[in-house]
Amino acid sequence: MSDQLTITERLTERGERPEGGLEYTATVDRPFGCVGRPCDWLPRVERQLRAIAALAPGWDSHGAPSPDGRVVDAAERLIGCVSEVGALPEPYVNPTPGGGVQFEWESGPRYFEVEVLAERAAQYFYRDDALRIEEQGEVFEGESLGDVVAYVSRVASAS
Amino acid sequence: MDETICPMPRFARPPVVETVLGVHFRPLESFASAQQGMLWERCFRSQFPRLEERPPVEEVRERFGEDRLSDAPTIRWRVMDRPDVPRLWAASEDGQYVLQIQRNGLFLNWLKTDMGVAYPPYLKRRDQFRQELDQVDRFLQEETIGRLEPTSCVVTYVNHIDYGGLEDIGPAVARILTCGNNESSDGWLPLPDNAVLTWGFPIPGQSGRLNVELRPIVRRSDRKEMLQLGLTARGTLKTREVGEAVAWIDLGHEWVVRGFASLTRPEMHRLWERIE
Repeated sequence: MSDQLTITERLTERGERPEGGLEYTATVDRPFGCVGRPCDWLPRVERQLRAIAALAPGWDSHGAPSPDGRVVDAAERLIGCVSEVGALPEPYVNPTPGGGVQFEWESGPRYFEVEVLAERAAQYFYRDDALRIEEQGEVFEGESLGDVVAYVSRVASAS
Repeated sequence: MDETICPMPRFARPPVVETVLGVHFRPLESFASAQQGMLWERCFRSQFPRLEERPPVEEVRERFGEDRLSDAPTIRWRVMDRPDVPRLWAASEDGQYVLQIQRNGLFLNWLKTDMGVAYPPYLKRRDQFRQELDQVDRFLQEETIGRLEPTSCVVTYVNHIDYGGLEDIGPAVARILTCGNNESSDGWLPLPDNAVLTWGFPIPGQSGRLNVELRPIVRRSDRKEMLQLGLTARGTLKTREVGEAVAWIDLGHEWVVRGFASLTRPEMHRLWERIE
């Protein structure tokens, strides 16, 4: 229940509650909603993004502009947020001819990409060749990255 | 689930003490504290004069199938290290109604402030909330801030149920709920002296989920031990239209009310004077 939204919380006191923490256990399975350690690939991805930010105009031999520094920064923040979930695979990182940055994950029949188009906007695309599914959407700055994380996890689970 | 069941369950003395109808929408870049204050002053101050600020509430999206396994806590894409815009918490003079406004959400609470307060009909609360959504949408357009693009909805009902206290919690749960039988396989365990129970019931078509939570609480007003049964229906929208959001709230309300009747035993229904 969404405790923050209700007023009843102010009018009640909690009864005794079972201990929530199980820090003393050795179980390694992640419960629902558990945040893991940040992914260890993040520093590598950040270095790739810095290299992308330094690309000169015409880097693709077809006259593409230099990537927009603000978009690269936004992409860095997006992937940084995604990495906080932990236990996710490393993405491929590519500049796009339009000045954006694209992250890709692929495993078996599953493919997912998220392209940061502007400082506060990204679009994503998911494909599962085995199930013949294609899904797409968009996410804006300030919004939940839950869908992005769910798609990356889907790709990861195919490996 | 039997979809032919009708009409909607109704109770003359329902144990509900609070309801929330809410909509999350696309975050509005220019809907900061100043604009929220303007909105409150222009549209809501007369009806909700008591103002507080709270941290914003995160949007929760229900997930299905294998995505449930990857269900991480809400992580937002934040480009800049700017502070969150607070949530305005505006209460009516008598405290019965609260309107909550934040950069990506609008919520209307009703609270049973004392035993004599009558439970307002759902349609009245729904229509009031629809009017408030329309007022916000008009304000956003007048101030060229943007449009309301709803992304998900929430319907919450909180019920307080009298019981015998923690020493009786196992038998009480069995008396009250259809899905708590207080049995063990061999009688070895003593009766429990605490219980916090949660359930999730998917709404067909992956259009949402009814989340139910039962926990013991102590009512501050009289220090009485109660069981709090909270039912929250959440759903993600497809079209980003206010009309769809209101239609989903109707669906969420139906799941909360039918879910409550289905989860609680007929003996309790008699106590709450079920009419239909």
